[in-house]
Amino acid sequence: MKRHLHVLIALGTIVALLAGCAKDEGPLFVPKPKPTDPDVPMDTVFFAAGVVPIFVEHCWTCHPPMGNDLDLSPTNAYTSLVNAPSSNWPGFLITPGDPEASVLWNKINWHPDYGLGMPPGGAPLGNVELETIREWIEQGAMDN
Amino acid sequence: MMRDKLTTTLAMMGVLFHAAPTAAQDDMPREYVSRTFAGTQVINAQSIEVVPRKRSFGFMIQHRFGAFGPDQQALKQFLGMDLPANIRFAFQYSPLTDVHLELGRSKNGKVYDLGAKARLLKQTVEDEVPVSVTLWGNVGLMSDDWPRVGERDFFADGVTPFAYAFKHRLSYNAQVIVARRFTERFSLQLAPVVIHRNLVPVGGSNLTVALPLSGRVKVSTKGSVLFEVAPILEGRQENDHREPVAIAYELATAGHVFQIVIASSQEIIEQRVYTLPQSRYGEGYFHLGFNIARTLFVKPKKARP
Repeated sequence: MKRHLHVLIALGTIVALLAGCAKDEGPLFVPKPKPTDPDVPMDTVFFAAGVVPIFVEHCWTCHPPMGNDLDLSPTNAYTSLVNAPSSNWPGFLITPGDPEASVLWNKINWHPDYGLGMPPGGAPLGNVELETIREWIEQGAMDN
Repeated sequence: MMRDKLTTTLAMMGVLFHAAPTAAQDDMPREYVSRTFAGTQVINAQSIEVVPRKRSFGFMIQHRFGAFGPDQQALKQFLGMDLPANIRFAFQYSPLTDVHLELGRSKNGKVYDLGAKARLLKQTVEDEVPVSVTLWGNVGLMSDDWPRVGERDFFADGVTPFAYAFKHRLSYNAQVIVARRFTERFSLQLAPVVIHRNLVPVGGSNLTVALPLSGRVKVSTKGSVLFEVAPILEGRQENDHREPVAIAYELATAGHVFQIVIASSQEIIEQRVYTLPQSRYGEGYFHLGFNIARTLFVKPKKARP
């Protein structure tokens, strides 16, 4: 009887596990089409309203004011990043107009040439957050 | 390509199975080969060993530091020890002889894993049974927060709006582990692994098949050198997915196993070791780490008079 119970428990566990099987891929991010008509104004991404909240949610815990060599608090994030040389990697943390040349962009995209990806723990940045930062850099990384 | 991989697999299996059984000695009690490996893990891979006695417990701590390599960061970050690390705690319990259940929790991904391991065959001293065989399976539950989902995120079809569901947190792993202790000093094992992840990035493979080959060379009474390499047969990711490798020095006693590890992956459970990118070990980048395992033996119940 005990032996049958073990077999039943094992079979029940296998069935329960297989019932949770899925085969999904995603998320696939489809960026907004960029306006081709020069008369149509581009959506401006604001640093204070769009980018800083992302830093507050994902980065501030490890990069607080005067915490270590990078301060991403709302007051100091701009000067810490834009045209500021990286202490560990060649180039600026943010190069206005050029996301691929910006160390921060490569870190948050876990580029293998830039060491530890960011953030190293917790939820990674979602596509919509990455797109906000990309557009802000492409638009000149303004302090707006 | 696939044919070459199959040939390699068969050749590796052949090495393990080369010792054919000699004349059967059914009237004699069989003497089994013990401690093919010292612990229930080789390094990252499961070994054929199970918690050795019914009703006994096992406890493991597995730790991997950040990557270090031949650059100026190695000293500055003290061989990766200043970087965020991964750690897994695991409890094992043996409800039946040659079977144990395992519950673990890793930091990366905040993954809880629940597994079961059963020893099917034991290698015998006289080679009637030339290898030991163990089955291992587990399910992983990723409990970390999901990234934010926007209205422009879709499933792979590009039409269905994307939404995370509980099932996306689950991943499965099944393994047949075959090992042989060739001599007092040398053991080798092959552990084909099949992994299914319910959710993968677009373009990724839900199915991963790998063929971890692990070995142990005893260099002293308590000390051994361990190695692992795991060719990825199916489900190689596009972003430069290298084969996981690891090497370790082990000190083992009857109840303790301590290992100092150098590995290509910071990950610990199968669902992540064999499916996520490794460090660039061709350029000298590795993760330092250690494994500690302790078996807590429980005395068998006394027979009632």
